[in-house]
Amino acid sequence: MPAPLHPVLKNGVGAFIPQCRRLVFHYCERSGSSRGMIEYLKKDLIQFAKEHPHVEVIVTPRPSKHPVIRGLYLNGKDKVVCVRNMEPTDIAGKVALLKESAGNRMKVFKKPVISTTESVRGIWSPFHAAPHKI
Amino acid sequence: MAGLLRSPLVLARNTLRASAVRACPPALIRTYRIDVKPTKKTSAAQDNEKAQASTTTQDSKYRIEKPSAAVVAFAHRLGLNQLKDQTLLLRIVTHPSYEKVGIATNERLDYLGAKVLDMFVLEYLHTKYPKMPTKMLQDVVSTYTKSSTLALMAKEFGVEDVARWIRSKPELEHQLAFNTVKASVVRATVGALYVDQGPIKAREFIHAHFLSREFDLVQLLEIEEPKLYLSFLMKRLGRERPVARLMSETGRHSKAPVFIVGVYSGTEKMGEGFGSSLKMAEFRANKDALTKYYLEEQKDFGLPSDVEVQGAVYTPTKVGDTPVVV
Repeated sequence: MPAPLHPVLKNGVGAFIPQCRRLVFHYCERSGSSRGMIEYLKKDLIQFAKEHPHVEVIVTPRPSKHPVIRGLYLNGKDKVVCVRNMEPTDIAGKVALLKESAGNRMKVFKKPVISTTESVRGIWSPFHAAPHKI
Repeated sequence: MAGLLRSPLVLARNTLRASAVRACPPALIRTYRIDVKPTKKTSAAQDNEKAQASTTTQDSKYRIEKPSAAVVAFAHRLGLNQLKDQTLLLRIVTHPSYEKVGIATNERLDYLGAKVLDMFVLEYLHTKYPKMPTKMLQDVVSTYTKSSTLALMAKEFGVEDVARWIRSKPELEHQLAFNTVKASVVRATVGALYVDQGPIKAREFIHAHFLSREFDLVQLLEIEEPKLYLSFLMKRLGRERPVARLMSETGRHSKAPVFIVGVYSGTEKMGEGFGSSLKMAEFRANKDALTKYYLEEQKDFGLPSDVEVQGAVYTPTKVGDTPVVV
């Protein structure tokens, strides 16, 4: 008999664990592309960090490079977004995008419902249905 | 002049580099992070206050450390920010291998949490499945609480960032594994909630994080001879002996036959099975009947620990029969 599987996480069924664990903000003091980023860091970042205490926020200068936001997730993966020449409102949008995401790759979901449990009424079976009568 | 000749391009590049270094003074090139540094000894009054607030004993002199941003984030993720004693946070994530003078470790909370976890998982499963064989119940409880499961859960909690431990020396025979450390942190979390917030909060945490996980119990029900066991069971219950009947079939003489067999006690169908042979289908039908009987779920049940909840009324559920003896 094969070894039984471990109990699988169903995020949100009992408790919800937000998947974003860390956001790292890189900016350059001198470059023009970081202007919006620096404004965001001064104006909006602290409020964001207070509202989302489960996310570790790190700010690091990265000279002579475009401003970048890196989101790190609980599955070990990360997402990097370059925010060069963006205004603080747009940057806030990107931050929200990273914060709400999980580490998985963006996938197109073709089905409206994805579930591990069978349907309530059961899948149709030819052995259990009455034969077709004309 | 026999000096080193450089092209104008190289000279220009070197000038730019020099100017860049001058423009960015070293002080700016720092990562802004909350340091985990032990503070200098505080005044006696502050020490006293902290000793009273913490759950450690009065005579222990633990270093007062400020938790890092990662630890605080971890706490908020799991709802540990509600702990009255916040010094427990660093205690939870510190494995005993992290032996430094004045650092509290999670050894006691780990042990306590293990027992609390076992207790609440067992209580829930026992009440939900009253007829489950005890051996199977032990297996199911262990599946939810064993170290490998906890290590997996730890990764999903983000313990890898915050766990404080030290690898064993290479010459040692027994090497400490990271999974062991991660599992200890998860158990210590349960222990800390129990100690700080009480049994009901610990129970809520366990129900939300452990028992909400999906696990197919049927794979742990081991029955060697279903037909024999089922007939003994029906005799014990005082019901008619089970009879297997072919309900439908297809492709009997073909490469891929399918038989659907139902096992009946009188006119009541106990179980159903499919198979590519009649014997296989009958086997599955008997197994299905036993599964339906032993793994009957209770809905809307109260737990014995409800007596701790204010205003709750606990009506005991009947303990189920033991499995049939063959």
